[in-house]
Amino acid sequence: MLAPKRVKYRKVQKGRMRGKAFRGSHLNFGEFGIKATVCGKISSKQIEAARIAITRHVKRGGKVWIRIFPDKPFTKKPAETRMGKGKGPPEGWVAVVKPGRMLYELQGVPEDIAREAFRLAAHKLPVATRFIARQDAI
Amino acid sequence: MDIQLVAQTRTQSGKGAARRLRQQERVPAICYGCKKEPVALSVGRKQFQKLLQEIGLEARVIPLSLEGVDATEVKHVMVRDLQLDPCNHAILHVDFLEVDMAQPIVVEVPILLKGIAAGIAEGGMVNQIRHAISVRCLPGDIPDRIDVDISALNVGDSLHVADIKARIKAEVIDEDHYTLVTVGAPAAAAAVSKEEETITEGEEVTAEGR
Repeated sequence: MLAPKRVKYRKVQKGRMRGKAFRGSHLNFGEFGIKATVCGKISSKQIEAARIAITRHVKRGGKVWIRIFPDKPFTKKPAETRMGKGKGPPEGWVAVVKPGRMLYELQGVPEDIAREAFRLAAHKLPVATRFIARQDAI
Repeated sequence: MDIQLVAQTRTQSGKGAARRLRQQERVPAICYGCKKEPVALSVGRKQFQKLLQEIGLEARVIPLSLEGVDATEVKHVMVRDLQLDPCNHAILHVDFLEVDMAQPIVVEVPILLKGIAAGIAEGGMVNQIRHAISVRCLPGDIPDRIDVDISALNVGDSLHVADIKARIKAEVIDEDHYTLVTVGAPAAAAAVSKEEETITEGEEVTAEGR
């Protein structure tokens, strides 16, 4: 699964997700893509699950680009622990996604296969998504 | 196809004025080039969207006339930049570049792949590296697109700018060695092994985290 190799600080504050994703919102590599239409946090497990769904559907042929990276750690308190006594240990990694962010791109497959692959992948993601093709970029 | 765009000049600028314009179904725009002062404009959203659907995003010269100005005075412009909303793809702002029809300009012309590569039958995969090519020509002679036939490409073959240069009726600016399209080796086996590998790796990472 995707995770940073090294970070400066183990724990970070929760933060807020405001605005739209003006960067990383275009199709830059492939012919088809899937972009988020709402904001959310996508965990490394969800990113991997969606990637597997895409590669399993396209089988052979087709190149997949993952356009997001989970670089934000999240923590979780252990089970049956009383409140307080400090922040819990790091549990995993998430990618903060804003509306308009391109999540995955795909090339080398027909449109119907790309649509179905992204439909399956979208079921693994916690955000609403939209299919994008290069010709209907307007 | 007869294309014509009618614009209005605008005096107010800034996000407030721009938002008011967008509410009135107009798109704020600017026109510059030919060593003239930039002119702030606005165009009808529906008219401009219809025009874009007809001509696409290809570099095309559009006759632009200003409302309230002499109809014979038509500017020849090209869409230099298009700002879109990242979510709903609504047009937020347009940059028009005024061009001199007698002076050559550098534009990007889209590449369209034709045919099915021979390598696909062997399990290869077509990978388009560049989607456009830079050419220098007169604004009236800009090709709509460049058709590239890939039917002869086998696995491991690639097509470069030098291979299609002779067929383009304009001066190509891009370097000869720039790759346009490649046909890669079958990736199925590699993908499956990578999939398994990443899952195992992921479990290790989670274990460390705890």
